Amino acid sequence: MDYQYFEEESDYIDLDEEEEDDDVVTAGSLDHRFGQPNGEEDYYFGGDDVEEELVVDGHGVLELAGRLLESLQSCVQPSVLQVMQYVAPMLLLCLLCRLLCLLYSQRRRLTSLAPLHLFHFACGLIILQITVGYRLLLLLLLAAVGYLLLQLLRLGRRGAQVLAVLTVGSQFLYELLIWRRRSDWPQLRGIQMVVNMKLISLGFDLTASGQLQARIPGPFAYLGYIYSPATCALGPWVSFGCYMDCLVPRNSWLVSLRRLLPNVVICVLAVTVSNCVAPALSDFFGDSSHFLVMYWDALSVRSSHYFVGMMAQALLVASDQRLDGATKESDMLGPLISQPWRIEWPRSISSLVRSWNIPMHEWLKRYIYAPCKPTASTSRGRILVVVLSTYLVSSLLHGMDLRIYLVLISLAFLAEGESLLRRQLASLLNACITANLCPGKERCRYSHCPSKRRLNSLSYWLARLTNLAFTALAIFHLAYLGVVLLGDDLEVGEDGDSFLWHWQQAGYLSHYIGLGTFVLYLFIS
Amino acid sequence: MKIYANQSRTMTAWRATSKGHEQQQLPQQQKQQQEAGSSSSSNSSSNNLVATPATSRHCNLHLIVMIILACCTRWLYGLPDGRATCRSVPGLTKDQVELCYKASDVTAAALEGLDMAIRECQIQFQWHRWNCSSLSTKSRNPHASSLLKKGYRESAFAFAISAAGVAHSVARACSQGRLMSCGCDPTINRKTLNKNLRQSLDKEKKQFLQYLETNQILTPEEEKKYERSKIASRWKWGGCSHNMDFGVEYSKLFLDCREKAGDIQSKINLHNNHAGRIAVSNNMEFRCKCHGMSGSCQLKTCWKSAPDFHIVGKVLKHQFRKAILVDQSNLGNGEPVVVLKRARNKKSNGGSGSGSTSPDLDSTDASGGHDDGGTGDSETRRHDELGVERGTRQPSADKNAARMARKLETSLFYYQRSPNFCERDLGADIQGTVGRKCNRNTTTSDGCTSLCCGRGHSQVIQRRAERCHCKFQWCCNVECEECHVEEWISICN
Repeated sequence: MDYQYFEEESDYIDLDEEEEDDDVVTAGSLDHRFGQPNGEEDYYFGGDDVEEELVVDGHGVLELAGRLLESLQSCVQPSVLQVMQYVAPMLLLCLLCRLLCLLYSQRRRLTSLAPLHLFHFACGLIILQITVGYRLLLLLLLAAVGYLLLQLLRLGRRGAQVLAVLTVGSQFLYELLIWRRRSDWPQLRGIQMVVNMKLISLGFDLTASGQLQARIPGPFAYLGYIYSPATCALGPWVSFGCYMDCLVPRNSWLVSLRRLLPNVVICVLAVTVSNCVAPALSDFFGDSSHFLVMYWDALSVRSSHYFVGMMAQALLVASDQRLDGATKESDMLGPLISQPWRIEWPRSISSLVRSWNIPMHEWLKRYIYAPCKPTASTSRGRILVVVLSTYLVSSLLHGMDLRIYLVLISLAFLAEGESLLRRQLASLLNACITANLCPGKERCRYSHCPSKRRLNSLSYWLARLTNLAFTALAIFHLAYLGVVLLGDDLEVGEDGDSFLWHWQQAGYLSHYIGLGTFVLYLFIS
Repeated sequence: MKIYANQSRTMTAWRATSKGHEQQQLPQQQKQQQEAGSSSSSNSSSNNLVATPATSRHCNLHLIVMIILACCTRWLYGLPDGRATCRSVPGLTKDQVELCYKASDVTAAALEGLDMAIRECQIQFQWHRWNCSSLSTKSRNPHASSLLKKGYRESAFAFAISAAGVAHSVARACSQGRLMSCGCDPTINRKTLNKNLRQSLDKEKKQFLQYLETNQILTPEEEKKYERSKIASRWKWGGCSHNMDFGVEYSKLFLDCREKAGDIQSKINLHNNHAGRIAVSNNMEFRCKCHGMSGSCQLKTCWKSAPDFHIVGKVLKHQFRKAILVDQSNLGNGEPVVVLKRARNKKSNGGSGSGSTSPDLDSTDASGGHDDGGTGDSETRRHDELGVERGTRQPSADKNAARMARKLETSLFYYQRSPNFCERDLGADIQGTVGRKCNRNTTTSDGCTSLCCGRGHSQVIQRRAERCHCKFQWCCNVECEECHVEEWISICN
């Protein structure tokens, strides 16, 4: 009898771990089942078991949101800190330049504009020193070459055209010369593109009447214009006349400060979306839908564009620099470089393209499209050639980047095809479904206008649905074309077809839709 | 005597109810229940309820429903996946199993890191006689291999790459947001994390032993109290550090707890684990994202991330080729002898380069490198300074010593000469080179002469199928043809 009891005790001691584990499971389940409030609170806040069970029970969405939020926190903070390291010095230098120009203009009569140009040039040099470092010397060398090329304007209009060709050609020459160190070039390409646009616009403006109608600006004016702090690092292009008009600031400080804050806030939001939110959502939808992966990756590229655009807008507001063109400024944001609300919800691809980079669109319209556009004969083939030429020049301005060429040429075909098809459909159906926005109720020349009809009318809803379908198609094209620009330029050399991987996965669907648009247009007309 | 018999019977009944899921012992339990029911008909109501839950006629419906719900709940929930992983990996120590129960998601990532380390080891050693095949057993734990109980050079590499794999995988899982334990809690100091874990484990063990010593039945209320105290003493991750710091710390917590003895093997294993973690943290790489108009690159935002694990494998392979043999006879001889040895060796090595190292110098540095206390280091440094002053040696000796110390931190140590790995020895977990594929045209380590250990090789025809002529089909498939390739390969006899 005693022997039997000893054996039982040894069995009990040997099974410590299993009993402990059973206690955990039994106690947890019992408490959960019988609804003990204190026990539930303790388990929920402290216990891993309860949390894991809750995940199984269907609280996975909250848990996933918590994890996503935690992952974003580790990404948002460093991104915002790095962005502030860029934004703060640039804004301070623009404000400093504005202050110096204001003090100089108020001190005495304007006997000479050279100090104003020098203020702009000095502040611009400091900004470029902060952003590109030692590569500033290369930029100064290219500026000197540009000033030498500017002497060709003495030949008149033909000299301006030669200047344009040589400027774009020298861009390729620079890239070939520093091919071994081409990792430095992607950061300089954007800066040099703006410089080239300024040179070409200066050439065409000074020879507008066929001959050199004004004196070539001096070195100080030239350097101040090329390296103005508002436009030297991030763009955008402004004409020389607009630069001279805004040499002395006119707006009050209060207006500028009121406009600065929304721009900086949108800057931070855009870089957060570009660095953290869009890649996280792309990983989240990585298995379900390829279109969603394309859309979020393209959103990362677009947010990067909005970030730099909003930052450039902030610099324009800080320097009180206005832009060319008839578009009005926004009261909240100041001069607009891009309109994200029209890009994310486009009416058509044409309106999307115009809203992407408004100063560049103005430049292309003024110096490439308008001189080539015929006034008398309005044949469709010639218009198509002119549009393609405009897109080709826009591609060449971007330098040796094959992705830009593919995206812009594809964009040209898609936009023009859609525009022609919608115009033809509008004529046939007598409804307002053209690519451009229709005017108001009185001036609308179609009978089925949304603004002319009432809400309970059938044609109103049909027109709206048709426009909505074209908007959805434009969003798809936007995701399809934008995803190619994701990633660094150097990936082209490593994997020759990596940037076309997304297009292959999508089966070149957007290109086929564009081709179908042209075929449908030819069939209707 | 009767009281003792009653207690033992009730304990038996309690154990029977707690082990209801084990179906093999059902007949014995039924017998025990019947005996208990028949012999204790005159006991109190509580004993009666516990002893005879199914056969008594006096139980009400509430009790039956409660028991059914308890059984259904137990079978319904079962163990979480993370907990199931803890049991399916043999060879884990008790501390590792407890750590796995506490942070099962982090340990799952750590086990993935061990898998990654094994695969990388096989890539790095695929043309050597020892090709890491002994580490990839049925279990996911390379430390269960007999080879890691030796002090070979290959064992040093295995320890280092395992620690590197765990650190890398946990850091990556943390940055992906897959870990619940990877959070921010500034109330707990990170430096006392290991100590906090030990204290909580000891506290729980003491409480359980207290309940065991009282020799009483754990009623549901006492179970709740025990569980609540267990949860209150549970540790949490603290601090808001970088992800790699989290990975390195967890790798140290998970792998260094295996080495508790103070002998040369444990010290060298701890050093090799540390070298593996340093190989990951020293090779962090910057990844930048471009921002600009139309996808250009006017501004960049950069962040540090864990390197590709293949780079870590290359670094550790490089350290493997330069591994340092530690002489056993110089450890454990006391502090004065070590100091004298160090001074004497410095004198003899003063004029030589940093590449040549003697076992004596390595042993002293190895023992010095494992000292964790600050006072110990300062005392050792004082002895060094006194030695230098006494001997009036050149000041370049100090620079050599500093450079040597930095170099030894990332080196791999071993204390046993390696076998030739030619013959099969399953007791020592050596697979041999019979049947290995070799390269007939070279004389390096993958050549047939070296890999087959002079036993010769034979040529066989190998047929395999590959995908070729892949074409895109509208829309949206890629179809490939199947090509059959035949080639002669050399295999060791």
